[in-house]
Amino acid sequence: MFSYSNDDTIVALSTPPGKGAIAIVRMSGSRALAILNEIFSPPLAEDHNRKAVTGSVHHRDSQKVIDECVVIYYQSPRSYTGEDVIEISCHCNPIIIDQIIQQTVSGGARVAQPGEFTKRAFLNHKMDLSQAEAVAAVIAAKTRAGLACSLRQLDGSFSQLITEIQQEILNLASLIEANLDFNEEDLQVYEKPEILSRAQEVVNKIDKLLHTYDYGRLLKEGVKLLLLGKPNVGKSSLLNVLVEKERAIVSELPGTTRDYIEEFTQIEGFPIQIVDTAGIRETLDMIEEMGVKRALKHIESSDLILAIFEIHRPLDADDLHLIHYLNRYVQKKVPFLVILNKSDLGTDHHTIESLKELRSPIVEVSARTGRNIELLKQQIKNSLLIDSGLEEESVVVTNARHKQALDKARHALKNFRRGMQSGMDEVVLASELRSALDYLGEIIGEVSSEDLLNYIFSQFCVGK
Amino acid sequence: MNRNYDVIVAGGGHAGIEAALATARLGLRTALVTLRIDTIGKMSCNPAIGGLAKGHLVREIDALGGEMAKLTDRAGIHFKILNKSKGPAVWSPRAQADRLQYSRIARQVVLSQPNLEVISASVNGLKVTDGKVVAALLNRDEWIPCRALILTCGTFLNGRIYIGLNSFSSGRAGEMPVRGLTEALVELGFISGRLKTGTPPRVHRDSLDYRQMEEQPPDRPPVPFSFQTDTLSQEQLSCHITHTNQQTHEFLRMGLDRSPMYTGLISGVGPRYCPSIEDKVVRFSDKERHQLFLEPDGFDNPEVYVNGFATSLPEDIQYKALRSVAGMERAHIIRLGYAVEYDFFPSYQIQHTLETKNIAGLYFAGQINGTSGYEEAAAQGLMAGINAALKLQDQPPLILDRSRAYIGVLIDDLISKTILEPYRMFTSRAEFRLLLRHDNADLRLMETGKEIRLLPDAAYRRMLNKRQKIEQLLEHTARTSISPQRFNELAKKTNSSFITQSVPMRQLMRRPEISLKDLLEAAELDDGYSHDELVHVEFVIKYEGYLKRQAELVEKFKKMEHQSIPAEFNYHTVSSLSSEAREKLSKIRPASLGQASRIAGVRHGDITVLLIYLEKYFRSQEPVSRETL
Repeated sequence: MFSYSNDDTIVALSTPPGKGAIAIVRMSGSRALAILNEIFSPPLAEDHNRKAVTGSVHHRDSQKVIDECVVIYYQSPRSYTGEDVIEISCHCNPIIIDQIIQQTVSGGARVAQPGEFTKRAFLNHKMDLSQAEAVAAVIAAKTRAGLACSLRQLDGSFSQLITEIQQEILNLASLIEANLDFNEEDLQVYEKPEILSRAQEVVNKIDKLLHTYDYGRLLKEGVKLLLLGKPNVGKSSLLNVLVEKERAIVSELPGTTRDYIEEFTQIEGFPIQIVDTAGIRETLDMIEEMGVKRALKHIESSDLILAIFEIHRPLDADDLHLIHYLNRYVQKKVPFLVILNKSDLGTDHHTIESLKELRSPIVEVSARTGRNIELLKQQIKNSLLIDSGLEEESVVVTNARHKQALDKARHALKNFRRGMQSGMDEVVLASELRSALDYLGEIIGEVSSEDLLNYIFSQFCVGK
Repeated sequence: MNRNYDVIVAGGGHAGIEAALATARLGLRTALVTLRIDTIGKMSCNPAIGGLAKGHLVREIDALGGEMAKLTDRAGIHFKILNKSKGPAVWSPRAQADRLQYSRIARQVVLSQPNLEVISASVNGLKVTDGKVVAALLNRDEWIPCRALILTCGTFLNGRIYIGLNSFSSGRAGEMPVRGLTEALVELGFISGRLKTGTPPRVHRDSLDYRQMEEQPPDRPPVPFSFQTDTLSQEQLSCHITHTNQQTHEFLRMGLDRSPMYTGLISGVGPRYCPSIEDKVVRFSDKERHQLFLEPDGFDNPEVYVNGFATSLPEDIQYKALRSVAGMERAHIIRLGYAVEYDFFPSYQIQHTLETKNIAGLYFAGQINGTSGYEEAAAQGLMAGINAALKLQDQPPLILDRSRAYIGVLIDDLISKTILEPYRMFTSRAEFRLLLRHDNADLRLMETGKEIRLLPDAAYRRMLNKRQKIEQLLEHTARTSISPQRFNELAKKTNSSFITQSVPMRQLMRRPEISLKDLLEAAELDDGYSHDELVHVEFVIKYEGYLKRQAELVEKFKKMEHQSIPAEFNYHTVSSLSSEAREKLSKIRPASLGQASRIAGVRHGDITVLLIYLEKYFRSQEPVSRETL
């Protein structure tokens, strides 16, 4: 008999390894329930479907109890994979976990390969391709915002948006096709300017999605945040409060931070790599030493810069150096925030006024007392969002395959518009729209010529 | 009587004619069984052949050696190329034919065909031995042995006509239906369904006031349908256009309570692309008027076909509504419009050769497969005839794929799609529209027509000559440059930019405003190329990039087509297919992964799954693991 290995029952730890209170061991496959019942009491029956049952997991042979667990049985097809699924919540101890998995394996289960649960879910049509990819992203997501964005893809918001775009292209295609296939009728011929502007709207929608790819990349790969300021302006203290642990050496002596210090943290859901440069004096020296070019490369590789000044003192030569530097090399290349540190020590209004000329958001903080640090975090997030033209709830493209498909669809639509403007043969125009539909179809699912005809028949009174 | 045939064709309509002529011409003893000899080749609906996408089919039939284009050329009274304002790929020839003459010529061709006998009877049953057709039952009393049976019964299987709330058994207005054949097929395990189609009233030409209508003259000179016809000499007639109005719609609405459709008398599904006038009025109630296209029936017959006014409403309503139309105030109806409901056999039951999957030697062609239209029927009849003959002569079958011909699109659609309404060809059904033009049907298919020995040598030689001239002209344009003196005059006329030194003609051809004909004239190189040759070369140059891309898509398409799925493949073992896909795939049994991907309900994911399984399947087919199967 020919059969696919889906008959296997697979097992794996599905929570991250390491410390925690509870771990979940998951089994999927037609024998999942039978395997469980050999090592779990009380035995589960079909009417336990989707109910949490407390009991004990024991060795198959010796009956020795391994752990008290909560077990949930999800009967096929209403489960994550579409197959029978058993989830065993046990205490998170590597020895317990290992024993439980061992027992299921000796009962006939096989240790799952990475992603195999999701692959089965996909093969059983529990999710479409974009959703399956989202699962991988959810698991890999390191931060809250990244997770939220993957979850939006998983819940289908992304698919829905693509479907909407597909639908609009289908509408356009049906107009062109109706004109090609039914012109014997006195159909009202479409208006060219209207089609052009509708096509442009679709392009804009795709552009907006494509634009989120950079933001998606930030979420996946992290934001590089660069701290700039003269020695002893408080860069290290700021780094510490942002990272919330003592890492950089804080001292009253200028120039304590001799090397670059990198720290990874999360700010408002963004994975952030904070780079604390040496004081600006050294930075400028470095520019002189290494040449402007290399230093600029360093600047330009960051996603956001915090330019730090002291609020309680007039600007000194080092500060002016930095301002010159910001104006000359940073302005319009990398977004930056002006940070006025040491607000606990008083305020120099002249300093504030002069810094306003940089025309960047100004945040007054005190790294020492922690004043306005939350506000600073908000401001960092806003800058990143504004820079990517996004709102927090936007659907984000994070997958390179999707980006590529969207790029191609956009290209086809552009060709369509250009062709229509130059009076190109409608057969060619129609084929551009078909290509656009095909490319989007690679993301979620295809649109057939039957769909197209259905649409034409529902919109136009055709036929003699 | 001792009669013995290789092939019996049941039905003398457009499918039957092509099927019978093809098998007879390929050397098989053929009988064409039809209820009445005088209705061979009858145009039951409008007196026109061709039209958008359908014209392509007729040209392809011609290129393979079929008859329809030649019949049309001989009986045509109004030739027109449609879609002339659009790209050459969707230009489509259409002709009005003299209805009586068409039928007369068709009968004459059939009756004078060697190897072909016409029997006036009906086929009411068939005998199957060991899964193979061995005989057909004629008139319920005589078994005639045959090796292949081609059913082309049109709307005659249990046909029932509806006019208002009245209905009666009939295959076509005034003709008997065929009984017993559906039942015999169902007994053999076939699934049957019911479809509906409609036809408008025919009015007397002398009762119309053409002055109130818009005249639509034919093309002059008329362009023939057949690649083998040189010129057309018949007198040509005009068609006329008029429109319904609010008053008409009001009358029609008043009759809805006596409509067999709206009262649920008819259960069969009608075509959405050819809705009845009452349907148009109800579904598109905001439309102020609908176009009516008046087609003359010919010189001798005074009937005029009111295209666009298909209806099954009662007589009084038909009169009132029709007479409210400009120019039709005194219209005299010769024959009322009616709806006809008939049996068909959902076409997943046939293969690409049109032979049924269940019974060897049994072929279905035309409306029995759920299609509508003379051209669709003729194309299937021709392919069924060709394939029946090839099989009886132990030759490989002829299957045209979707990248080669509209005929290929048609048959593949029939087999892969669930037919819910009478199927009609549209250009949008063809993925490779730029490649499948009506003017290159000869270049695409005549090689094949000659190979199967159906196409006359003279036609083939003509094609070779055309191909040679095309190549010559293509080379010519690539090699020859044109001087500024000669070109700039043309540039002035066409608002094109001037040239300062000689430029290859092909390069100038890329300018949209420059036509090949003008360029050849300017260069004084006009060497008597035919219209088709010029069109072809111009197309190939101007659409070069698109044609290249389409050719790439064809390659991609062919890869999927060549991923064959074994006939015995058990989809039920593939648990990860969606249940809808599993059901559809088991029912349709696609021959390739490509065909599978075109089945409604089979999704992208299903194809991915199938790919994985097929790979495993073929691996497991290797000799080592054979016993594990």
